[in-house]
Amino acid sequence: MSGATATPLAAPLAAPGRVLPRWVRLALLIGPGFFLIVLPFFGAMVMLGTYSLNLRDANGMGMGLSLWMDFASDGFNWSVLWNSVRIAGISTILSVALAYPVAAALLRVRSRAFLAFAYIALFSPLLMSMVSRAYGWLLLLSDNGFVNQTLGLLFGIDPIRLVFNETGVIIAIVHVVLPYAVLPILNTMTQVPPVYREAALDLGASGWTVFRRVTLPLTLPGVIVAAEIIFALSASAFVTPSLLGGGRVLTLSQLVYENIGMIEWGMAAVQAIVLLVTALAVLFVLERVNRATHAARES
Amino acid sequence: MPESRLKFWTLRAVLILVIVFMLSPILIVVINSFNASQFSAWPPEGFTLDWYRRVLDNPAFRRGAWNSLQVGVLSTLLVLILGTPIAYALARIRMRGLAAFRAVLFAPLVVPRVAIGFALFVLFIVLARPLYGSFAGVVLAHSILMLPFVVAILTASFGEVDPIVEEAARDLGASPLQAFRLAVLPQIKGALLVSGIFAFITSFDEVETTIFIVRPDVNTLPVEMYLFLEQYQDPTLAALSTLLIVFTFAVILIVPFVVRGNALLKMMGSGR
Repeated sequence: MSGATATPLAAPLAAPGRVLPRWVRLALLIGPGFFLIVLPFFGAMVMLGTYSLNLRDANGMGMGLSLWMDFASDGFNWSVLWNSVRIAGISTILSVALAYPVAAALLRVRSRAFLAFAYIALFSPLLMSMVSRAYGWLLLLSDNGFVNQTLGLLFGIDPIRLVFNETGVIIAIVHVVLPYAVLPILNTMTQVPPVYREAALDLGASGWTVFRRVTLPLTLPGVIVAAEIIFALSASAFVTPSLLGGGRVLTLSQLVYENIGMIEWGMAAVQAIVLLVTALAVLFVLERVNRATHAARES
Repeated sequence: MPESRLKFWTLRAVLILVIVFMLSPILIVVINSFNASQFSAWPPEGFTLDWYRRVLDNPAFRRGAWNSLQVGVLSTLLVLILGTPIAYALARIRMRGLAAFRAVLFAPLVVPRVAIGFALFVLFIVLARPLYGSFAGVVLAHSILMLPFVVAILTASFGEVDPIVEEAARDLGASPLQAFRLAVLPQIKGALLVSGIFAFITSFDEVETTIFIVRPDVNTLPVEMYLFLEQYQDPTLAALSTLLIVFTFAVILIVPFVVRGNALLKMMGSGR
């Protein structure tokens, strides 16, 4: 074996000879995962698109936009789409509005024990099955549940309707997505050096001005990332609106599920694509906002 | 820092209220699992273990739990076995076109789970009929959902392993696979464990995609729970949820035992 007796200098030169060409290695490394997992996903998405183009009465023969026309001409679909977007929008605003002060408060916690407890509490929803969380909120918010019973005992008021309507759906969605809002905001906040705020305060700015002119603009990227994640999650949520809405709050994801039960697969495909496009459109808009604020800060 | 006490305590109050908000569903579920009232009346009417007995006696939940365990283990193994080489390639090989592959790989993250579920339903019905309502179909669906997360965590982890270690092993006569197994794998053990646990828990809780492609005999546990809750509001579900919370905690507590706390923190930082 001449390789064993080669000088140390020669060794690196010898190494490439033992290695397969780069593209062969690449194919071997990503090929199996690509064919077994990635390709079926894309196949499914292509099937989804194809199904939405089937003609309603042609038994799968021929392609056309008739299902899309049906979707667009039915006001019911638009009102359900608006439900999804409205619920997701309100949930996003509420989550970010809660997550921002929570992140600011976490930065100021000194006690390590309390900090650990706060983190565990904030991330506890992730330890709980999605169905269990919905069930917990049903127990808390129903007419004879904890919240209404406590309010009744304290103030003698009649139960407030908190479930099987949009209120309950939004409360439960905010609960699920809040951890995803806190993380990116906290992340950008820790990157803002405290001296920036102190300098602004020393120069005579009021606390509110410092927040508006210094802290908020610097943490805005985190807020936008949080909003992107939360909107995508809440617009496409299915279990939470379905269980807490009790069938009275219809979202697009529930229509997809109902339509496959009614063998309206073509319409379900159209609705699933509209759901996807809605999520992507909001991501696109928020990403543009993000770029614009970056550009504004750098100029 | 010159900051008003008012602001400090307002922030602290918001934090405490949010903590109460976040914990309340867990607390109420655990308390009600011992509540003797059939209708989960508040305040509780007495203590009982009856609901736990009913969970264990429920054949749908037992079958669902067994199905979920199998699907969770199989899809986690599949995703780790196929995802590790992909992550390695993304971390080590520079090549044009790889950016496009990366975009393709992470696409399932932005597609709503309901849309993925329905699309797979159509794919199975039209092109792969035997996969519909089968274990293999559910394992494939869960693998699609988890692969992006696992690859992201592992790519970050491979990025922290110095390639020189592997080159040294190769120079000392190791084959490429030996060099990987002996020099690289031990250094990403922690990331494999974290992503594996993450994948298992995701699979174990998945409803929104799964519900489109299962048949009753392969229903996973969360799907059974969803269908149950659609019809009944009975404290059996509180007992089952409590058992699942304990189970999830047990799975997550494996991590600190196997990985040292320090390495764990580093991974969490790089994993996101």
